[in-house]
Amino acid sequence: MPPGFPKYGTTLNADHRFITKSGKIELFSERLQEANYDPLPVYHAPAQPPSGKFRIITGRRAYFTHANSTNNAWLNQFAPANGLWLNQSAADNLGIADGDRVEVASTVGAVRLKAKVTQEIRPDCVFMLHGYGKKSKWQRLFAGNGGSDADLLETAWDKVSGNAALHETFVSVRKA
Amino acid sequence: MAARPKRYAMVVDSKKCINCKACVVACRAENSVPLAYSRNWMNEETRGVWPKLMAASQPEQCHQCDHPACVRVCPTGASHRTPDGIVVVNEADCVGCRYCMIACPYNARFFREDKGVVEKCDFCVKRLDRGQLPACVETCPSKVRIFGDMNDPKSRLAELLNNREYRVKKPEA
Amino acid sequence: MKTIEWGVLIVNYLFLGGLSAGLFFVSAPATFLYKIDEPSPFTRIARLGALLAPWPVMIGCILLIFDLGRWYRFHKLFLHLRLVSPMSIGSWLLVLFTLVSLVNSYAWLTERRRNALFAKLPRALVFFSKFNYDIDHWRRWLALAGLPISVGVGIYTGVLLGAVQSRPFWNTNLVAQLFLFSALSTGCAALILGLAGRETRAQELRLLYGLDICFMVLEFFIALPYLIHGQLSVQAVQDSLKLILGGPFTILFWVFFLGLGLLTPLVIELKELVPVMVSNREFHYKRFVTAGAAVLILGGGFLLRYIFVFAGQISAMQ
Repeated sequence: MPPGFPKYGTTLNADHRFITKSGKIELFSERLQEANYDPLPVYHAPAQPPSGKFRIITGRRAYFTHANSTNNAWLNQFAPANGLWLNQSAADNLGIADGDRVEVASTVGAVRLKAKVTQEIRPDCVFMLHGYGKKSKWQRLFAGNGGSDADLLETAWDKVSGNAALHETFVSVRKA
Repeated sequence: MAARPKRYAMVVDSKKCINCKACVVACRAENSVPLAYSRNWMNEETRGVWPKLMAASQPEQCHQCDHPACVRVCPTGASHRTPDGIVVVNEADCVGCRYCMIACPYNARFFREDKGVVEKCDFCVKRLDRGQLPACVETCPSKVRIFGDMNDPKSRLAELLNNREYRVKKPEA
Repeated sequence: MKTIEWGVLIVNYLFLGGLSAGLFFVSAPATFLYKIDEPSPFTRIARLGALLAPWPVMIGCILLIFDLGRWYRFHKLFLHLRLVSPMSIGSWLLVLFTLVSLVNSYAWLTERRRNALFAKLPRALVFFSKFNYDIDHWRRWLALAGLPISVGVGIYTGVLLGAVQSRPFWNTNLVAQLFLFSALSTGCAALILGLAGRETRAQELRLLYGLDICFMVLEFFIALPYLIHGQLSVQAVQDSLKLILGGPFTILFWVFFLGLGLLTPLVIELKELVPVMVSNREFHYKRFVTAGAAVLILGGGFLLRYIFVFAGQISAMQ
C-alpha cells in the first residue's frame, strides 16, 4: 500500500464513531429494521403516469440558485423565461408546435407557459425549470415569464428520510 | 541561455465544461462589460434523437492570434500585440472604424456604443500584472480553462500541449 | 459578436468615392487630348469631369467621418501611416485625391467664373483674392499627378474588402478590380448624364459611350470569374456565394445589379454606338434613353457596393 493511504478497518481519528448502532458504516441497517423499514434498499417500482398524462420533472440550471437568483439581471440573461419541455412525439400527438402556449394541469393547479418541443426529454415526461412564475411584483424581471412548478406539485415525501419527493406528480398538457 | 519571452496562452479542455456560464459572468463582473455585449461566450451543441442524445459545450473568446488580422488592418495602430502575446486595444488611439471587427475570423470583438471604441477579451491584463489569473480561469468550477506561459516548459499549459492532442479553431485565418 | 458593423453610410461612401475616382480618371486623358483654342469634344469632357470630381468624394468623406465610433478623433488616422492596413493607405489617398482634384477643379474654371467666385468673397475674406491665379497651364500636370491617385482611390475600396480573409464573400483579389471598373463606369455615366442635355454633345457622348462600354464589358468579365471561381473554391466561399445563389441577395444581384445595372445599359449603349461605328454615320442619340442608361449604371454601382458590404458581413455569420 502506498504511504498515506489509511489501512482498511481504520479511521483517521483512532476513536471515531459513525452515528450508527455499531459505530461503523452499515450496509444492513438494524435501526431501519427495528422501525419496520427495509434494512437493505429494496426496489419498489414507482407509479407510472396514466396514458395521456406525463410525469412532471423539475430541475435547476447551473447559473441559478433555486429561485433565489433568477431576478439577477446578469443571470436572467441566460434564461429569461422557462418553457415546458415536451418530447417531439408527444407534441405531435397533442398537436403542439414549438413555442405554442400550453396549459399544464395537475390536481393542485394549472400553469400556462410556452412549449419547448425537443428531443431532450422522455416521451412520458415533461420538464419545467424551477424558479419562474413568481408572484412578487418587486421581482421586476419576472413579470409573468413562464410558470411556477410549485403551482403544480402534489405533496409527496420519501417514506424513510422524509425528504420532499418532487417528481411524483402527473400532469396533463393541452394547447392553451 | 537567455530566457525566452513569455507567450501567454489558454487551453480549453471542453470535455469538462458543464455550461454553467460562470466564466461569462465572471468576465462581465471583472471587466464591467455592459449586458448588451460579451467578451466571451459559450458554443453549445445538442444532437440526436431520444434516447440517443449528445450535448457538448465549449467556451470561446478572442484567440489572441500569433498573426492577428485585427492588428494588421487597424489604421491607427490602436489594436496591437503586447510582447507576451496578448492582443489589446489602446482606447486612446481607437477611432471606432470597426475594421478590426470585420477582420476577426472568430467575431470576438464588439463595438461599445457608449464609448465609441472596440473591445474584446484581453486575458485580464490588469489581473496578470497583479500576479493573478484571468477571471474566467479562476472561477471555472470544472477546471476547463488552463492558463499559462507557452514558452515555460514547466508550466501545466506547456505540459498539456506537449502530451495531449489539441486543435486550434480556424488556424488558417 | 455577430453584428453588421458597416452599413449604408459605408456603402454610400464607397459609391461616392468610386464616382469621384471615375470622374477624374475620365477627365484626365481628355486633358491631354484637348486643344486649347480649337473646339474639341475633349474640352467639355475634361472640364465637366474636373469640376465634378471633388464633390462626391468630399460628401463621402463626411459620411465616413461620422460613421466612426469617435468621429472627433478622425485626425488620429493621419498621425499614422500603416502600409499593411488598407484603411490607413486609403485615408491618405483620399486626402491627396481631394486636394489634387480641388486644385484641378479650380484650374478648369474660366477666367470669368474665377473672377465671379472671388467677387463673392465676404469683406473679411477679401484677403484671399490674392489667390486669384490663372493656373490653366497646370492642367496637364494636375491630370498626370491625379491619375494614379484616382486609380488608387478606385481600387483601394475593393482592397479594403478583399484583404479580409475571414469574410469569404470578399476574399478574392477580383473584388478590387470589380470595384475599380464599376467606379470608372459610374464616372462615365455621370458625365453622360451631365452632357446629354444638349443636342450638340454628340461627339462627346460618342467618346464616353465607347469608354463606358469598355469599362462595363471588363466589369462583366470580372464578375463572371468571381462567380465561377467562387463556386470552384473552398467550402466557405461556396457557402458564402449561396447568399446570391438562392439566398436573400439573389434577386438584388441578378435582376437589379447584373440585369438592370450592367447588362441593360450595356445593350443600350451598344445599340446606339455600334451601327454608327460600322457605317460611320453621324451619331444621334435619344436623350431619355441615354439618360436612362446612365441612371441605371449609377444605380448598379450603388447596388454592387450595397450587396457586397452586406452579404460579405453576413457571410461570416452563417
